[in-house]
Amino acid sequence: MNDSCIEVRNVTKRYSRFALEEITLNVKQGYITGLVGANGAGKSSLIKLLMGMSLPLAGEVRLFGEPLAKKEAELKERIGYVADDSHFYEHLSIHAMKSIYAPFYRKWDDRLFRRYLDRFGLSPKALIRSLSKGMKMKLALAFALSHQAELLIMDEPTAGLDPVFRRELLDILAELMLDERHTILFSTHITTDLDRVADYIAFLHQGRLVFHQSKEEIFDRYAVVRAENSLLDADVRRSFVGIRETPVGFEALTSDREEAERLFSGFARIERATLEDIMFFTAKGVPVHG
Amino acid sequence: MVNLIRKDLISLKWYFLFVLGYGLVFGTIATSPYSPLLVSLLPAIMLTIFVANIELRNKSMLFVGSLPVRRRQIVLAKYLSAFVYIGIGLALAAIIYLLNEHILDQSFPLTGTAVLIASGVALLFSAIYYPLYYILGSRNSSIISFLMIFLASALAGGLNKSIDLSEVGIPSQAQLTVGLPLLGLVLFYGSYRLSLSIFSRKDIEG
Repeated sequence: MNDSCIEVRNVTKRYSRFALEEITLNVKQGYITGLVGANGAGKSSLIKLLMGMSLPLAGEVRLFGEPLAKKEAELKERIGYVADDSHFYEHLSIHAMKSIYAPFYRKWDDRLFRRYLDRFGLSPKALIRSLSKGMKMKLALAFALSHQAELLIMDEPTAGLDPVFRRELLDILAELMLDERHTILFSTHITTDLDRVADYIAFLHQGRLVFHQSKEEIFDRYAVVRAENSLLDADVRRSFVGIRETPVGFEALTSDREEAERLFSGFARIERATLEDIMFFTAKGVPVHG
Repeated sequence: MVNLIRKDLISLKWYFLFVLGYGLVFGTIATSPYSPLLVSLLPAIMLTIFVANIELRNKSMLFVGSLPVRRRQIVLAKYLSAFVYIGIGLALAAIIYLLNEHILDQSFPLTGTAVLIASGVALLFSAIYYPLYYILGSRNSSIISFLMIFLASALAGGLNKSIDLSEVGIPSQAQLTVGLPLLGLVLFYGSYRLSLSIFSRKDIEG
């Protein structure tokens, strides 16, 4: 049985100054996958492809085992989508916006929507233009969660949110995952969010997928090596993903922790890499590594 | 499909009052021989432009793109809503007619010819407007607004100058009353196919 909720097969999408090149990605059902990458890495572009808003130049997107291009409407009914910005009608009230949104979904649950509004402190009478960015994000989340979506796709949902609501949002995602039918894909460049809730991490860099692995696999595989500069020769340099040198020594990211331990044991400190380390050194080092 | 049309009607909300105000002013106070035609026609044009502007201002195409609808439905709903706007314009003209005839006791010659010409011109307008809307997209909304103001003025001005409904000859009148709506419908369908072809190959932008 296919356990992938999202299958991206060799998808290429080119813009005038940027391209997503041959992305292949399988997002597993029942898990939270974090899509991480620096600004401009292609996270939003990939999400727009998954939502059918952008059309790929080559390749195919499949959701729930079905091709998105052929069954767009049926498949999107099973998706809750939170955009990186509010695209609701600003001059309408939350109630009026709901009367637009709800009829599109057969499984719309009005009681659940009201519960989320209460929980987020949103009044149905409030005009959308009067809401702060954080409140608009909460509203988008309330809409996305109120039609029994099986897949939640969120584009930078935590960007611009205060730390309290960011934690609350992550708690909500964790709550959703108690029901194993749900799958969540969310993009972010705030790596601490992923440390808290993500099961899998997909890392995009300059339009290419660098890796897509479970968090445990990533932390087993990557390590930061800190040592004196005298240890650096051409072969050693080549073995690192990226290096930062200072007058007193260097720190470098390796994608083969075991090999690094074998080579440098006793000469260097080898520590667990954070997602931020991986993002930083990848951006500084070679464009893509295996 | 119905939900998409409904979405546009809800988003128009207060703009209906503007259209009503326009109808009352130009249908009862600042009247001319062309008032029945203009009161029937311009609400449809105004509502088409208002909806597009609301959408462009709020970048709501991205919202629409996330909804469980096919691209074909999005385009078809836009074109079908043109008939709804024409209906609203004609209903408003009928109300103004009743107001003039029974309360204000002044002439408001709302004829079948005016109704058919207004419908035909409104269809022609939509037939030109929507492909531009889909070709230029939201990033060029100011160009669309400029073109549409120009087009609406040209249509209204052209009607004022060339169509004196009381004086047109029978063949001309027949041509106008039958030909214009028919031409409008043919162009409208061609325009729908063109917009669908454009939108099916284009990324949805905000």
